[in-house]
Amino acid sequence: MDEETKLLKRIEGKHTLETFMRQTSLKKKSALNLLSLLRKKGYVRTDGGGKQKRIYTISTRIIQRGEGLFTILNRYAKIPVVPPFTHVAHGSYTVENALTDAITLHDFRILQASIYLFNHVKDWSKLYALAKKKQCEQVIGALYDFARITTKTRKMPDRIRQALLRKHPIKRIEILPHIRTDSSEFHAIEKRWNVALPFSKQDQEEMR
Amino acid sequence: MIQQEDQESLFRLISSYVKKDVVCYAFGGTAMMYYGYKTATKDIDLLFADEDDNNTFIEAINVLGYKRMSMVSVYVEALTKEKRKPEMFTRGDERFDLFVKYVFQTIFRDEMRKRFFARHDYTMSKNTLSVFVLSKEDIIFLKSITQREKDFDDILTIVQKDNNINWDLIINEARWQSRHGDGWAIMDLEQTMQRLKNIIFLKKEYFDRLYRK
Repeated sequence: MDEETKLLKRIEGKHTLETFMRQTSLKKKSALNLLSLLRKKGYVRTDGGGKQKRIYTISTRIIQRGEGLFTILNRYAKIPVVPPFTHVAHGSYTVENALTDAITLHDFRILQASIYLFNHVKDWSKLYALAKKKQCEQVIGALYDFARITTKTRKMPDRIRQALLRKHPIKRIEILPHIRTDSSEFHAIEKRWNVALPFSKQDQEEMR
Repeated sequence: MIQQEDQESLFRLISSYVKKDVVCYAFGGTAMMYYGYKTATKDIDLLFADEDDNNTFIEAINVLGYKRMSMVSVYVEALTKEKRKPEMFTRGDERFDLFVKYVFQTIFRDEMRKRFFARHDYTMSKNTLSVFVLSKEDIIFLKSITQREKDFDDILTIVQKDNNINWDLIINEARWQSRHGDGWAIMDLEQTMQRLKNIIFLKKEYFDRLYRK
């Protein structure tokens, strides 16, 4: 085991400057220098600062950074989700990509968080193109209608709505198998898109 | 050797040349770099669940000038005679080892796919190259069967940097693979574990479980 790994194993976890100084027996200046060096190498993530106490998260592995599905979801969701895996997007990755990806994961909490993204869609054509590519046009349409009656949501252009409605499945699509809404309020949406919504009335209240 | 930044740039570049969305799984040194266990690797090991994705990927790297190479100088002789061996491509110092559905006799099964650790999407033009990083347990298991020069060192790096290795999962995987046609899985893993035992603590129970019926 090299010296760096040994050091990282010893100091792994969350620290304030004071606990870090105590653990490493370094003076303030040396401790800050070491933290700065480790941060440059990617082993340290910093949170807080300003009015808040600065917290250093130290890992034995390089901490992955970058925009991804969960960073976008948690930026806008009322109830943040715990990422089940690390997702990093290199290149163009926007709210529209996150929306279509969230649907394909078939996870209730992720789906719930994705509802808030409709208010931040800028490129509806891109959303339509992605939905078409992933063959989830009706699900996008149904979730959009649900978002409209649940949270503040931007209006979808009519031509996109018509395009999404064009493909009407014969068999009802279950976004989450075996989870169905108990609210008659959503039946109109379900009938329009032929999609079974997984949200209950109580879920809707939570999301408001 | 290929550095982490170079690898990311390379994947970005490949993503601009793939003619459709491609999904692949990283499991060797590449996966270790995504985990942050190391910063450079000799080769890029990728596994494809779909033949079509593999062909699309090969088309893209051919455009970039990668040429097919022989596996004789890299793998032990027994592995070069295997039916399901990788296709290898090289350009300068960089090398791709591309496997489809199998890593030699080991089946790339759904369970392995589902327990991935990270997903990296590269979208530089119309299509996306998605690189899924397999779990550290699967990396250890697959490295124990590929038996290349540096594979044991890589396993050692993982177990030294990470205390949280689920050995039960690795052993179960080896037992499953052994039951489904990979006759060497358990023996290769045991060989690796015996070598590891001299360096780190491994419970006797793990060795017992390897051959238990």
